[in-house]
Amino acid sequence: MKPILKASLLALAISAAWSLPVAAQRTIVVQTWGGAFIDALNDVKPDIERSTGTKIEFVTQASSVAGLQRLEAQRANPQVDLWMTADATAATALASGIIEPLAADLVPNLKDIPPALVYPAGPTIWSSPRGIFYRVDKTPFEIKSWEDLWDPRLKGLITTSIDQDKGMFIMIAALLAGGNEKNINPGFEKLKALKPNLGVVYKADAESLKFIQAGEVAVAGYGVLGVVYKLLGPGSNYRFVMPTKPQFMSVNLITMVKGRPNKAEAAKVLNAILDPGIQERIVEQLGSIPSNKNAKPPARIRDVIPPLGDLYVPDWDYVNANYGAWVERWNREILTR
Amino acid sequence: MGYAIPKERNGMALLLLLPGALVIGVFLGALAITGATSVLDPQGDWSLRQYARFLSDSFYLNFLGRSFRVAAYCTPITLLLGYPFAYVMARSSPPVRLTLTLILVVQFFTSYIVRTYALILVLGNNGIINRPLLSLGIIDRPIPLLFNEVGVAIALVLVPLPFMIFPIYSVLKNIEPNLESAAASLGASRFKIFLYVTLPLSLPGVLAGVVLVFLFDLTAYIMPGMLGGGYFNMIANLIQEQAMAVLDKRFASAISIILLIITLLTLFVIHVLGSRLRGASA
Repeated sequence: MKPILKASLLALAISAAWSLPVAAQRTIVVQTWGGAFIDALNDVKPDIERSTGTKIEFVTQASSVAGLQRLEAQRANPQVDLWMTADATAATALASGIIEPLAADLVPNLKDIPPALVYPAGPTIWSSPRGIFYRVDKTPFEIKSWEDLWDPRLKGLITTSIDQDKGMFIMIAALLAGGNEKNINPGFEKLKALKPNLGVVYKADAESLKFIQAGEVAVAGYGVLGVVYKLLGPGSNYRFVMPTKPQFMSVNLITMVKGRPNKAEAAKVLNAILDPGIQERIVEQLGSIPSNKNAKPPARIRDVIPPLGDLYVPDWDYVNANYGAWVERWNREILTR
Repeated sequence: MGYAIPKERNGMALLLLLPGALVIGVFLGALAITGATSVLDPQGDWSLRQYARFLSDSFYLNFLGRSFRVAAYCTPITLLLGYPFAYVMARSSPPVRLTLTLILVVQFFTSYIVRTYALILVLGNNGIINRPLLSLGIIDRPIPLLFNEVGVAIALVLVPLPFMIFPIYSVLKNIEPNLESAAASLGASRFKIFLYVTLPLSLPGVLAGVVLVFLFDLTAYIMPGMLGGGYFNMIANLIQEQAMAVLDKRFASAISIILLIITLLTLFVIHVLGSRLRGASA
């Protein structure tokens, strides 16, 4: 055989052997978001590995929907054991058979998760408050409620999004106008009245802060606390308000992907993530509220979040089925000048 | 006249072709899947419903029209800015040429996203264009350069500028200097030398640059997404939204195939026009 051919085949064999999965039966792959999320999880990873005796590998997703797309593509041969995702997307994944319902007996810490936070797709890991954040020095008045966004003094000063939380902002507008997700028309009529106040629409939640920092707008009309929470505090020009009518939190779940072999080890890791000590360390970095009733939210947000009252929980199955039509109406009726 | 591979080396040649063929095969395979997704309905029957949905709705056609329009006027502007830069690069001394090349290349050290955010700081209400004009009292309110077509167009002119400059520069620097000298010795002015000698000979580079920039602009996603502020989405943004937010892969696939067909037709037209231009100038 010619030398160069031998060398090529040898190189091919070495690279193939290198890429073969090492006896990974005890490595649990967890798919989660990047940025602050993976930083927070990497911080607790050694402790989880120690307590469970299981290696963990994190893979990142740009968004819950992007994560779902990846799992769909891997359906025949999934490469992920546990998947962190938003509740709306989890409902879609459960309906399509990508994830399986949680085996509660394998997760002892479930007993400390309030039943309302345990979904058919899996338990909540943390809840992220949604509200309005704004620059107090660039805003003509103190914002206290969703209705304040419609004040004409905020002309051109608001950024918002319907990509966040499957159009929750449209649902809020509907609720303010006497409708809800199943009667969305009042919401769109209400949003038409908001058009003069809209300066820019953001896609990713981090953009909302960047647009405010760049001075283009002053108010994130649908704001994620986790984006701004490290900028809050005494003397800060940033303020976050979580209006109570309606009050909404985005819930992130941890789910078990169907078709993976290491269920017992995956359940151990899932259980460890629900441990109160682990939860407190994670939410400290994310500015979120832990799901375990024995874990405390970060001190910095305890003053910002009002007593949680009647949290609004949409019918996510209905939202998932109609979100496409809402996006179309948003583009046609609201994003016009 | 090229080098012909000897017959006894055919096997080696095939082996060397394999990696490239594999990559092309993956792309063609993905294209085939996209095409199939666009014409198969949930029951597995053939249907052109998604194509009819796009082509019959002026709201969707507007995305295509707007993308074409912006690419059509941004590309010549990029050419008008890029050609002189390429000309100066080609005719400069080596140290100057190196400096100009570095100025172009250094852009690629940062990602498109970072450069687009930088444009927000430049074009915004508090940006380095508006702020001095406001401070000097030349304007009493900021010029709206962001979250509209203007901001997107500025980005689509500036960001692909290196893709226009490099092809033109590489052709210009290989033009035989004696040709220009000969024209000068026959009494041609510098303008006529440029018009009748340099410019026609640089047309291959110009066409390559035009094609690259036009395609870049037509299929732009990040720039309209960030600088359009939701108010100036282009066709790639529509495809992304349908695929990733609305989860309507069939519709997104159909739009992608329509865009591909129209892009190929446009490239064909550019190629034909370019051949005629080169023929006329020969």
